[in-house]
Amino acid sequence: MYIERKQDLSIFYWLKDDIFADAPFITIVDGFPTEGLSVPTVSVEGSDINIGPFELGNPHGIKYRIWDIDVFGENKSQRDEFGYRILNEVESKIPVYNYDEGFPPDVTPTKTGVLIPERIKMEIIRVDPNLVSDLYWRATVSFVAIYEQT
Amino acid sequence: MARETRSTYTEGIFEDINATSLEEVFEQQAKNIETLREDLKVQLESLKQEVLAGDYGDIRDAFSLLGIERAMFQKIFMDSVIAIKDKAHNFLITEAVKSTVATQEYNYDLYVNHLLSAMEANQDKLIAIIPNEEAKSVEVKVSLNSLGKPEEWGKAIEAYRNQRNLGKVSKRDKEVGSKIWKEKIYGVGREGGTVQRYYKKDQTSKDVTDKYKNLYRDTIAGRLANIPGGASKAPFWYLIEHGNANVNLGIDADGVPYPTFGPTNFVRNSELAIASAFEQIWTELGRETLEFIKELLKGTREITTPVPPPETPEERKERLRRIKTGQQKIRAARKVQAKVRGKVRRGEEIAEGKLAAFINTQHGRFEAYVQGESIRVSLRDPKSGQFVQLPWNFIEVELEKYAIAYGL
Repeated sequence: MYIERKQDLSIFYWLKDDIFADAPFITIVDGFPTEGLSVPTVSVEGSDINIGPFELGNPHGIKYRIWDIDVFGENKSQRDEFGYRILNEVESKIPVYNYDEGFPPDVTPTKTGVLIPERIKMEIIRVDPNLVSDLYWRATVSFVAIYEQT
Repeated sequence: MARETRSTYTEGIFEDINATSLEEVFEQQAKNIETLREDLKVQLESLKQEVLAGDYGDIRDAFSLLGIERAMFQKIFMDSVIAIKDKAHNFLITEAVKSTVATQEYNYDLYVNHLLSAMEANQDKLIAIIPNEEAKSVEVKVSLNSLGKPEEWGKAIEAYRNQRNLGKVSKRDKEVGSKIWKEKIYGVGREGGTVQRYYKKDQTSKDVTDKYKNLYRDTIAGRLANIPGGASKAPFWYLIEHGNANVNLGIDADGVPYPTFGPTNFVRNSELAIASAFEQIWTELGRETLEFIKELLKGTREITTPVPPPETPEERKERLRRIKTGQQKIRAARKVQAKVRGKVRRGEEIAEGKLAAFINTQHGRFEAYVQGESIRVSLRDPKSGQFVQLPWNFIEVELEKYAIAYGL
């Protein structure tokens, strides 16, 4: 399994088993829900992977990736509550595990590194009630993360 | 004809940005950065010539050199900010095209060209670039709200429906409508689908695809023509940015959108592309400026000032006066050095007055004291009143520099 996929899964399990462990009624999905949205849902999807200049004098670039965590809440306060929780937790590093060893809850994989989030942003996406059959409240927490091996 | 699993973009999609393929769009993006780099390198080269011509101070003077370094970094940073502001719209356009091509349905020439025209019309309202000189970076904010809201797109769809006398339909009709849209309008217009008409009577079927061939294009053109605000608005940008999944533009709801796609986040991607292009170019320019300063310090760069015309008697008088003043300053600084050398010994505490009296000036003031194993000398800035601490091994250079600077 590529390290990028392990990062995908690590964020998914981080949301499921750490951030929202106390709220099993939330659907956590890997990838943006394009069909059959059940509210409340929190989805995570990795976006572009970039290699950019790192520092003066260093010929090797740094690999960073943009992540989007979308929150679909039943009402404004639920959306805000979930969004703020992610926003506050994402400021800490996100652990990355070796899922080649297996998946929770049967296996507790070894930690291989951390994702260091930067440029964190929470955006409220206004949804017009006339445009949706089942009203939901949406926010996106996006961040750029660099992987650091431990 | 085999039906494609995914609608492909149409040829005219890149017309407005003078490209013929997606590869060319990527090339244009690279070209945006290259143009920016070339423009700024020309500006940096011209700045270097100005420095070498003595426009920013005498490069042979160590203190001036520090000032030159600061001024060069400041100027090239601000030049970079102006240049990125100038080119930012190009980055937004290429990101918009790249993302639109990645969606289904909106990867269509009529949509893209309308979106680009609206972006062009609102060019001044879309991007804000805030420079942060301390961090040598820029914060980029892109907002496309001036292109319209999603409900305005819904209104355009409804208006076109009314124009064609489709009017309000029942829930069942909407389900049928969604099926017709998927198979006969979108399916034929975008996915290469075919429509067969079945004749029950003689149990035969006939290909009637031609009847539906232009329906998709006419529908989109009609919807675009009905957008409130006309060509300067492109409210469907919202769907390209945030996705059309979980959004129903059937206005009366209950219809099933087809095709559905997730967010492209091209607004956020544009912000990052602009900021990252700036960082990339600034890193290069910063490195080159630093190299230039090093060359000046080493003396490997020669002054290329052109030979000045013969000076007038007044100019000669002024030049001599300047030399005299300069020499006086240097003499004053040397006096300070000599006195410091003679008076200050390791472990000895120096009264402020001893040095102050020695520097015959009412502007500056030194303060020397023993700290640990070394002797420290501080100089009070006459403007701010703050003391600048100087390590002992730099005293000679620093004293001369500061003495000249403050006219001691």
